[in-house]
Amino acid sequence: MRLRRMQREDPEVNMVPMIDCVFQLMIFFLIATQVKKPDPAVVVLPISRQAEPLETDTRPPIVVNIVNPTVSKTSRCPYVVMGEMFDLEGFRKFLQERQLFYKQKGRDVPVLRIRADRDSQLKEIQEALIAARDVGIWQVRLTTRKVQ
Amino acid sequence: MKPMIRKRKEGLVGKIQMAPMIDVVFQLLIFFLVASEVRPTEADFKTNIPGGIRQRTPKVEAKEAYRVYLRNLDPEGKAVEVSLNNEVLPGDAFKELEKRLRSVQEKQNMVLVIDGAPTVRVRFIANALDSAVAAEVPAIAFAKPRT
Repeated sequence: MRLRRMQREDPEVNMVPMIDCVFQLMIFFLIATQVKKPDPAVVVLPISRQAEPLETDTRPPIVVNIVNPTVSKTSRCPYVVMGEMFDLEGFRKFLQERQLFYKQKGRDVPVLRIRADRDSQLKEIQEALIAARDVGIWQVRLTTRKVQ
Repeated sequence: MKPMIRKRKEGLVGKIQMAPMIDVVFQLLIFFLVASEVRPTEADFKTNIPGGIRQRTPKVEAKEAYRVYLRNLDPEGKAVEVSLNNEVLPGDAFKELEKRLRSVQEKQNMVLVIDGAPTVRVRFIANALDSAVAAEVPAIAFAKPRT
């Protein structure tokens, strides 16, 4: 008796669900990723538990980064504003220019937000505060990294 | 005459090559996985500038000022001594600071002035601010730098 040979099917891996997942991830990263300019100075913020979430004012604050003075490249210019590095005198001049700019527009100088490295020193904050006071900034924010 | 045999055309089954696309997608996925970084949540402490608390709060002199002073305990500034109104705080100084500030009954007229040696690290300033906010101190200011 002749037996019929059973037809063997080639095993196939179903790729469709995997491609679906990969595409989902791809789209997420494409949307969520922001291209960031390399910072001239990296600031590692101090940790806090009690700080308040950043205010979303219509008037953006003046943000100054204070870098770690032990980093040799930046030891003379610890103040970084909009990617530009300043020493104290330069920072003062920058604030005076901002003051003039806001004065011409008939507005008050906005709040100063200080993003100081956790290993920077108190004197740098104090000097920045004095420079700010001289141009009429009275409200300051010290930015930290929030932990629960 | 030969009978006409109609040969059936074998239909070509169109198959899309998925392998190169999957390769490219994986490359992109790995790039984004490696290049992405989770952005930490930032938060602010609201403080005032010494001698100039004129906009929202009265002057420091008009209030009951509590002075916190931080001093480095070692040359590298890895540890600090914390004093409140010239009294050195024992044990976990920042917890003790919070406890003492909490115990103040009348807080409406209270202002906490944060002062310290010029070389004190900012991380300790943040700790002092944390204690002050946890103790619900209504106004916080930085002291003028000593010249």
